[in-house]
Amino acid sequence: MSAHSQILLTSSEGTEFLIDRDIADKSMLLKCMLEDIGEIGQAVPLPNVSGPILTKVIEYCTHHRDDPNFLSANDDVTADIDEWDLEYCKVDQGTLYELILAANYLDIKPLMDLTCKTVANMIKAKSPEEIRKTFNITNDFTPEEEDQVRRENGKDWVDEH
Amino acid sequence: MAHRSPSPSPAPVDTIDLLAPSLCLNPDAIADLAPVQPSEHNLLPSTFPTLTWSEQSSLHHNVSLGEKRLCYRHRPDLRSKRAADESQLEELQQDIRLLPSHDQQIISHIWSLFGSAPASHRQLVLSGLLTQCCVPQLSFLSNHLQPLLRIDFLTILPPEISLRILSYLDATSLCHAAQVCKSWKRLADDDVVWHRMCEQHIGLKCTKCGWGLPLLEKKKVRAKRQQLSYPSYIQEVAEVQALPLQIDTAVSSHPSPSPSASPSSPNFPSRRRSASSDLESDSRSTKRARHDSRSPSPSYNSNDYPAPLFQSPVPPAKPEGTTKRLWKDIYSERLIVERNWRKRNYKVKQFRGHTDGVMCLQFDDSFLITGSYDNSVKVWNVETGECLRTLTGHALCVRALHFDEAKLITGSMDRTLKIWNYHTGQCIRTLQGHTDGVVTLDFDSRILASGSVDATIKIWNFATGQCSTLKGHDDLVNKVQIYKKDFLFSTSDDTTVKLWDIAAGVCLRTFSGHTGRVQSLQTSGEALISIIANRRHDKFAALEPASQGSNAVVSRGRATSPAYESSSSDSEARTTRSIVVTGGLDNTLKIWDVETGACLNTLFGHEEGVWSLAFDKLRIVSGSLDKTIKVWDTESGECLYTLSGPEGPVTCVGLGDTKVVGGSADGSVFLWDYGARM
Repeated sequence: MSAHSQILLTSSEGTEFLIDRDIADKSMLLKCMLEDIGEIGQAVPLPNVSGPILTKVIEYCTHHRDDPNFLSANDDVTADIDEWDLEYCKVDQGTLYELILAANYLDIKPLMDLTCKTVANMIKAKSPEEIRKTFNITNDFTPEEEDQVRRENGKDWVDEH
Repeated sequence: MAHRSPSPSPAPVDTIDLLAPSLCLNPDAIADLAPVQPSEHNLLPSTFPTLTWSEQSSLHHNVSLGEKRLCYRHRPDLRSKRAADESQLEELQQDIRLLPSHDQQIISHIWSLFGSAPASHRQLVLSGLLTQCCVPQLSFLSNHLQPLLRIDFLTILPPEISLRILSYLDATSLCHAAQVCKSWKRLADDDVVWHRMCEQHIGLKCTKCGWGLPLLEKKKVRAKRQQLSYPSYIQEVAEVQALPLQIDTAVSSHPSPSPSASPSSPNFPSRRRSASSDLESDSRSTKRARHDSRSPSPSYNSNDYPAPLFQSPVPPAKPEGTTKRLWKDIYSERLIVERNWRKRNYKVKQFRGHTDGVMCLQFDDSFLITGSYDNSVKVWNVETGECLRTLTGHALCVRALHFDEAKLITGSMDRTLKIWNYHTGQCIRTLQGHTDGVVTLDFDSRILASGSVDATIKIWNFATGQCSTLKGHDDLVNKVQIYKKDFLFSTSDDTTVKLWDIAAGVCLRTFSGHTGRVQSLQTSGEALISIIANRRHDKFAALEPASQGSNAVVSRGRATSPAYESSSSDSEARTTRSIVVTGGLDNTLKIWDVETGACLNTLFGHEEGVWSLAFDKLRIVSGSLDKTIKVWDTESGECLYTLSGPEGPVTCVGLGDTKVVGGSADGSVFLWDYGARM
C-alpha cells in the first residue's frame, strides 16, 4: 500500500472526492478505517458531511498536510491562531457549525480545536447582552433569576486581565 | 385559511396568517406544518396555471423529510428561543396585506412552490433568482443573511463540544456566558470547565493571561486541626521511627547525645522498639537495624536497641476527605485573594512578646514560630496572634528554625541544635557538633542540614544518626536548603552560592555574581516556574547575568512550537525552569537557573542589604536592613510594592498563600494578611 495512493470519498449528496491518502489520514476516522479494512477500492461514504463542508475540510487538511506537529500543534489551549487558520475560519456561523460537526465526526483534532477556539473567540470579551445578540439567543431568565445570576457572576469576577 | 396544528412554540406563532408563509414555517422541516396550499381565501384564478413538482421530486422530498436531520432553523425545540424571526414575520404579513389580493395569491404560490421543493431544487431556484437580482436586491440579501445565520452553538452542539469551547474562555467571559440564558448557565458553570480553569491558574501563573491564584490548600487542614485538643493528641504520641543511632567521629568527639539523656523528654516512651502497629515503619526499622549491625559504631551504648537521633512526635491527624466544592467557588475564593495581593488589600497584625531582635521565623496556617536574640523560641497562634508557648533552653540567640507538623528544630549561636515537640514545648534532643554558632538549618523526612559560623555544613541523618560535614565555603554559612532530596544549596559570607551533592559530599557548582555576603536563598524545589530571560540571547542559549535588567525577556522553554515563539512580541517569551533566588548584602536579589548556573535576573530596589527572602510561583518577598519588605513579581522581577512597619532591619520573612510575615531586629513581628474579603 503506497503512501501516494488515493482515496475516494462520497459526501452526503453523493458527490465524489478523490484525495491523497496522506490527507485522508489527517482524519482519525478515515485513518483507522483504512488501516483496519485496507483500501478496498470503493468510495467511502460520509453521509454526515455535505459537499461544500467536505471541500472545506479537505482544504484544511491539504494546507496542513506537511505539518510535523499536526496532532500536537494545538495542545496549548492558550496558543494564538495562526494567520491562515484565522482566515480559514472567516465563514458564516452556519458553515462554522457544520465544520465543527464534521471535524468531530471525522475526528480531526486540530480542526476541532481551531473551530472551537473560533467560537470561543466570538464569546470572549462580550457582555451577556452582546453574546445574546451575536448568537441570536433569547434571555429566558425571569427577572429574579437574572438578578441572582448577575450577583453570582458579578463584581467579584471583574478583574483587570 | 390553512391552520397550523398546535406546536410547542409559543402562542403568537400560531396566530400567524399563513398567507405569509413564514420564514420558519418550512414544511421541509416540520411535518405538522403543511406547505401553503391554495385555499378558499387565496385560490388562484382558474386562468392561473397551477404548478406542482414532478412526482419523482415530491417523492424525493418526502423521503428526505423522513431521514434528514432537521436544520438548525427548523428544529421545533429551538424555535421558541428565536424571537427575532417572529417579529420579522409580522412585518412581512403586514406588508403583503397591502397588496391587491391577486398579487397576494401569486406571491403566496411562489412561496408555496419553493416551500415544497426538494433541497436541490431550492438551490437551483435560488441560483436563478440571484442571477436576476439587481445590486440593491443583493445588498438587501447580504444585509439580511448575516442576522439569519446566527447560531446558538452552545445549545445545539453536543455538550462535550460546548464544554470544549467554553474551556478556551477566561474566567470573566465564562461569567458573562453564564448570564446569557439558562442553558448557557448550565454549561458555563460546569465543574469540568472550572476545574480546567483552576488547573491553569492555581499555584502557578497562567501563561496566557498572566494571572495566577494562590493554592490555599492548607486551609482545610487548619480547620480540622483546630478541632483536635492537645491532651488527646499527646496521648497518641508514640515512636514512629525506632531506628538506630550512629554518630560519626565528627559528633562522637562530643558527649554522645542520646534521647534518654535529654532531660526534657520524659513523656516519650523509651527508645526501645515496641510493637508498632505501623507495619511499614516496623519492617523498615528491622531492615535497617540488620544492615547497621554489620558496621556498629564505636559510640554505641550498651543498649541492644540503639537510639534514634530523636523520636518523632506524631503529627496531628490529617483531615479526612473534605466535602466536595464547586470548582467555580474555589476559583472565585482565590481570585479574591489574588486581587487583594495586587491591590495591596491587607490587614496588618503584630505579634508582641520577644524582648530582643527576632532572627528567624516560619509559619503555616496554624502556627507561627519565631526565634530571637532573647534566646527564646515562641510559638504563636497565627490567626489570633496569641503566644501559645515560649521554648527556652538555648543559651544564646536562636538564629535558625524549621518545623513540620510534628517537630521543630532550632539552631543557636550556642553551637547547638535542638529538636522540640512544639505542641507540648518539650525539647526532645540537643545536637552538638558545630564548633561555632548555628546560623541556618533545613530538614526533610530523612536528613537535617545545618550551617554554621564555623563555615561548615553538617548533614545529620535522622535514621542512622550519622553526621557528615560539607566543607568548601570560606566564611560563615548563612543559609542552607535541601534541594530535590539529594542536593543542598548553601550561601555564605564568602559571596558565593554553592550546590552540593549530599551523598558524595562534593560541591557541584558555585554560583558567583553577588558582590556582597549572600544572606538568604530559596529554591523552587521540583516546581517549574516562569521567569525572566535575557532577550539579547537565543532563548535556549546560556543566559548571562542580567545586569541589564530592563532588557529582560520572559522566554518560554519546554520546546514549544517555533511558530508560537516567533508570534509572541519580540521582547516577550516565557520559559519555565527550576530556579533559585538569593539575596545579598549588595542590596540585590538574584534569580539563578539551577540547571545552568546562569543568573537570569537581578532585582534592584532595596536601599540596604537583603537579609531574607521567600518566594512562590507568583511573587517574591524580601526583607532588608532598610527596614522594609518588598513584594516582587516572580515572573518579571518587577517590584510591585514595599511593605513597611518594623522599626529595625527585617531579618526574616515568610510567605504564604495569603500572608507575609516579617520579623525585625527591633523584636517586632508583623503579619500582612491578604486573605480577607475587602
